[in-house]
Amino acid sequence: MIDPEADKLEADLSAYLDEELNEEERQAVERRLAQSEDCRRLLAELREVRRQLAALPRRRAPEGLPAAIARQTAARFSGRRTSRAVPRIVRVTLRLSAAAAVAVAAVWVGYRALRWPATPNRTQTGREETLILARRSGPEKSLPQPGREAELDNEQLRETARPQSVEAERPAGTGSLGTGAGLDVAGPLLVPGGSQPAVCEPGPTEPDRSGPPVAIAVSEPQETPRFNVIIEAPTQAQHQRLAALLARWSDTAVAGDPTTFQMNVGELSSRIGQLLEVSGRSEVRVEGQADSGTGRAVTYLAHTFDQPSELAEALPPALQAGAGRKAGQPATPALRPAGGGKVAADRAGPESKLEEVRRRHAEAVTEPPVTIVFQKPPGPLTQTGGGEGGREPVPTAAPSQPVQTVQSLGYADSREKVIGRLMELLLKGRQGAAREAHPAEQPKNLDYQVRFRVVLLPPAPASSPAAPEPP
Amino acid sequence: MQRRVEWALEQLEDEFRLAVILRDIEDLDYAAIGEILGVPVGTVKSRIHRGRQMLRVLLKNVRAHVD
Repeated sequence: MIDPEADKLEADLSAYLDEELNEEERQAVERRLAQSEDCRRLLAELREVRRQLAALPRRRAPEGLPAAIARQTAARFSGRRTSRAVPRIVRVTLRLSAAAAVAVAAVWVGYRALRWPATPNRTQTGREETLILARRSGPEKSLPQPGREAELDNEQLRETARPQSVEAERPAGTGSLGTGAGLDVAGPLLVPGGSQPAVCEPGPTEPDRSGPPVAIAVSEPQETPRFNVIIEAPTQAQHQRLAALLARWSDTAVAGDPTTFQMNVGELSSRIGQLLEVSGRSEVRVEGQADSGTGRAVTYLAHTFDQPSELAEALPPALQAGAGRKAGQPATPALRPAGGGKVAADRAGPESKLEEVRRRHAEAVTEPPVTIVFQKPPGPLTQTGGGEGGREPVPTAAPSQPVQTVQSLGYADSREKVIGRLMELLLKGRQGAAREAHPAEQPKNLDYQVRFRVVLLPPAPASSPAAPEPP
Repeated sequence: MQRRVEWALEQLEDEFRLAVILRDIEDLDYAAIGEILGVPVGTVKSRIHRGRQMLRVLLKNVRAHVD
């Protein structure tokens, strides 16, 4: 067991190293150091730990990011109307063209309309804020149905016009993605209420929370070995914390875009825990759209199911030929248990396999996303909480909601475990089967890259845990 | 060595890892870390201490784990 006195000494030595002691404490530590060889050795060890940490490569925010964040924050929080009783929607997008901004704003408002009645609820506090630091590749098909837009009231619609003016304030030359089908608007990921309303809409059976979860949306855009991540934070303070952290996390900027970053899934997995910590949220949702059309994913499947017919059978219904997303269809098909597939002998030639992959790729781009919820273990985190006790997942949604609950990251959860789980869910359970069959290929998981963006969510009505009914 | 340190960092629980990262990699002072994490400076101090303590033990005892 740790000797409390020795522990206190080490704590003081740590703070001494950091020059965070007051004068009196500092002198006390220096007296101890002068007297005790053990004390000096401990200090040397701590210094060495610090040196080794400092030698780790530091991930620098891309040039221009802090300014971009400051600009957006200023724009978002200096609006003319500040009534806390009236939710407002302010969108600041860095790289949306005007048309795209309107489209996204409409999607967003559609989402809001699902979350709240069109008439502002008097119990709501705070403002609705959205900050998009980056966007993901995605087709326009993800925009909301017209019916959703019809739910909006005039005030919300007026607010959707703001992105254009904000856009106009952007300095020229920061790049533009243009419009049209290639536009980087994250329909389903940005706005779960749009094309997958069930994902993030708080249902009446959802447990009490002080606000919406921090959400990370992960997807793998077609042909691009990257995930996109959306992080939602409910308050300005949390946004600032997250933004500060994210700015420091950024691995590399996507060329020409100071607000889009990428990191691999391994990094993401370790970041999720940090996000939980920084955001103060109890859970993080990862919405993954495996885009199973993605060559990498399907190729992976094909490793396991060498026979095209088996591959076809093994695919979730949503990926079967001709399957598309239908209204009312759950956003996530039931996941099959990992290991459910069998490995076939290589009876099909590589050409036919490749052909199958290509065909699936072409057909499967509409695969609905998966939502995974990472939760903090209940109760306070403890230094020695390495066991599984207290880490039981807590149900967070009605059974009909497409939410997969997995254990939180933590002391006992290895990065590999989390990555494996993440990928398994993202790839509709087939990844697990593939991994079992081809353990040597596991490192491929790490090839996936992540982009992320920050979306600031308004606080949920604190006094009404159940989702309000539209009037 | 770098891999070993990274491995050790990953063994830490989030709250300790984050505090240590913000201090020793990001070079922030306790007040700034407290602001980012939304906790008092005293908590920052204790988390950094705890995190470093665990790292110190890990790095001392598990030298060849990942090399």
